Amino acid sequence: MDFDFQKEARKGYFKYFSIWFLIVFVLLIATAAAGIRHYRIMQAPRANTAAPSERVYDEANLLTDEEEQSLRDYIAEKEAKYHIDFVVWTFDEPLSDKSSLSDSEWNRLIMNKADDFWDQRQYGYNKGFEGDGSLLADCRYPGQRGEWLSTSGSVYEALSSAEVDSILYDVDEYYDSNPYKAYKAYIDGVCRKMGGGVPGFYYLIALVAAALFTWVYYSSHAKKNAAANTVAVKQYVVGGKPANNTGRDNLLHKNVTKRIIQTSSSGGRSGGGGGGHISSGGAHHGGGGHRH
Amino acid sequence: MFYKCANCGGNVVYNPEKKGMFCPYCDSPDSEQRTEGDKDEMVLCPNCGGELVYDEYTSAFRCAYCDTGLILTPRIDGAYRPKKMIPFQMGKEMCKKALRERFKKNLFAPDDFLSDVRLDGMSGNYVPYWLYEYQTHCDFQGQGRKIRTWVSGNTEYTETSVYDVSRSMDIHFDKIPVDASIAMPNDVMDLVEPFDYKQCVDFDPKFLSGFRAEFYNFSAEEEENRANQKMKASAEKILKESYAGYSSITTTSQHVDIREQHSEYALLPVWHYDYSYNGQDYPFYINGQNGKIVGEAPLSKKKALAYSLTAFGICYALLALVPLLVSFL
Ligand SMILES: [Zn+2]
Ligand SMILES: [Zn+2]
Repeated sequence: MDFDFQKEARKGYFKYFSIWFLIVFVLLIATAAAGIRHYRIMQAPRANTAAPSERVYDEANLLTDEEEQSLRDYIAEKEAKYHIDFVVWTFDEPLSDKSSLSDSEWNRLIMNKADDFWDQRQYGYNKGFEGDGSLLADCRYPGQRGEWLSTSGSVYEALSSAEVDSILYDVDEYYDSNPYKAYKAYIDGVCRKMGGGVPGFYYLIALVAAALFTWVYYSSHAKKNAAANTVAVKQYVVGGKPANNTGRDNLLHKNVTKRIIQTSSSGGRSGGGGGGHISSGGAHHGGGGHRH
Repeated sequence: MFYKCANCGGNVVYNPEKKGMFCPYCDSPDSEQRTEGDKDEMVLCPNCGGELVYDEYTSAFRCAYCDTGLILTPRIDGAYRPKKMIPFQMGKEMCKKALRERFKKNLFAPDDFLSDVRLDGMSGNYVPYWLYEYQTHCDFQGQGRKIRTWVSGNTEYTETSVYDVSRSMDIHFDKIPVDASIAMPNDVMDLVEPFDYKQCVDFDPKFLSGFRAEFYNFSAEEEENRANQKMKASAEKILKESYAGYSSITTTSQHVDIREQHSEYALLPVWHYDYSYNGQDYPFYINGQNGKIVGEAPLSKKKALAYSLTAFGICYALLALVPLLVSFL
C-alpha cells in the first residue's frame, strides 16, 4: 500500500522524455563547440595580404573627400565583421568605342571589366583568387551608364541572381540623387544577404511554432476519451431487417435545364536564370547589372 | 442466502474468467451448497453474524466483515425474480486491463488513476433492466427529388426528376434495454449498450454470488417511454435508409404503429469504478460483457503543465539550436 506515486511519477516523466533530453543535450554541446570554433575563426586576422588596402576608387569623381573617407571607414567596419571584401569603383570612360551598345553587349563588357578589376588586384578577404567579397563597378559614361555588382567566393556562393537584382534595385534608388547613399545601399544589401547567423525574427517564428506544437501535444493527450454510441440502427431488430418490406417510386415529372460553361485559362510563370560565369582570369564570379 | 463450499466451508463465488462457480479458498470448481439464512429480511450475516447494512433496492452484496457474497432471497423471488440475465463475462482483472488500454494515451491523468490500489475498489453490479419487445408496422409517404448533371460540349445539363415515394414495412424489435435503477444515470447506461443477447440465459442466483445486484426500482410501465423513444428513433432511421437514394425528400406522412408489445425483467452486468480526484468524482461504467467503457479521464493540472512545458522547451530548443548550429558550420 505504501506505493510512492510521486516518485513513480517522476521516474515516468524522465523515462518519457529521456531520448529528447539526450538529443537536446547533444545538440547543445555541439552548438556550443561550433560556436566557439566560429568565434575563433572570426577573431583570426585577414589572410589575404596581397590585395591593395584601397577600397574606394572614385575615378568619376562622384563623391566628396569626406564621403570617400566615410565610405572607407564603413567598409573597414563591415569587412571586419563579415570577413568579406567590399570594393567601390566609379569611372566615366567608355566601355567600348562603339557609339551604341545593345543591352547584352553592355552587360558583357561591364561584367568583364568589373571581374578583371577584382582579379587583377587580387581582392578577396581570405585569398587573392576566388576570394570572398564583392565589387560594385559604376560606369558614368554618357549612354553607357549603369552599375554592375560582381561577386566572388562566399558571396558568389550565397547570392542568387534574384538577390543580386534586389540589391541593385536598392542602389538604383539613389543612383542619380546621391551616389554615396547608393554605394552604402550596396554594402548594406550584401551584408544583409550574407547576414551570417540566424535572423532575429526566426526565433519569434520558432516560438510561435513551438507554442502551436505544444497546443497540439496537449490537446492530443488531454482528450477526455468519452465513449461513443455504438448501438447500431438495427441493433434490436429481429432478423436484422424489416419484414414485408414494400415500396413504390413513381416518376411524376422530369425537367432538364441547360447552362453554358465559361472557360478560362491561366498564364504561366517563368523562372529566373543564374548569374554564374568564369572571368578572363579563370575565376568563378557571379553578379548582375542594371543599365540606366 | 449464500453459497458455501462443500469441501472447505468457504464462500463460493461466480468467477467470470473461469466461467463458473469457484471456491477461492480451496480452488474447487462447482463445490457450492446453497445455504439459507433468514428467509425474510436478512439483518445479520449468516456466515459471521455481523450486522448487515444495505440499500433499499439491493438484492446481492458482500458482507462488510467477512466479505461473503450474500443474496437477499425475497428480493429475487416472485415478482422480483428476473426472467433473464447475462452473467458477467469480464472479471475484475480483465476490466483493469481494458481501462488501462483505453486510457494509456491519457498522459496527464493523475498518477494513481490506473493503479491497482484504486482499481481494486471497483464493483461488479447486476443492473436491473426492462427489455421491451415491439411488433410494429411502419409506413412513409413523400416526394423525392433526384438530380443528375452531365456535360456535353460546353453545355452543362441538369435533370431533375420528381417521384412519388411510399414505403411500408413490419419491424419487429426485441429486447430494447432500459435500465430500471435510480443509481445508474440513463445517458450513461445508453452508452454502455449494446449487450449481446446470445449470452442471455435464464436467471440463476448463482451468478450473483460475489457480485452486487439490485432489483428494479421502476416498473416496466414507468420506463416504457424510454424504450418507445428508442424504438421510434430506430424505426425512423430504418425508413430513412429505405429512401436514401434521393437528393432531397419531403415527407407527406409517416407512421410507426405498435401492433403488439411486451416486456421482461432481466439483469445485465456492469462494472463500476469510482475515481475521485481533487474533490471531484469521475465515475466509470464498464459493460461487463464486452468491456465497453463509459467515462471521461481525469486530468492532473500539475502533470499536464509539467509535460506540456517540457514538450515546449524541447521543441523550442530543437527549432532554435539546429539553425544556429548550421550557421556556425
Ligand atoms: Zn472450498
Ligand atoms: Zn459476514
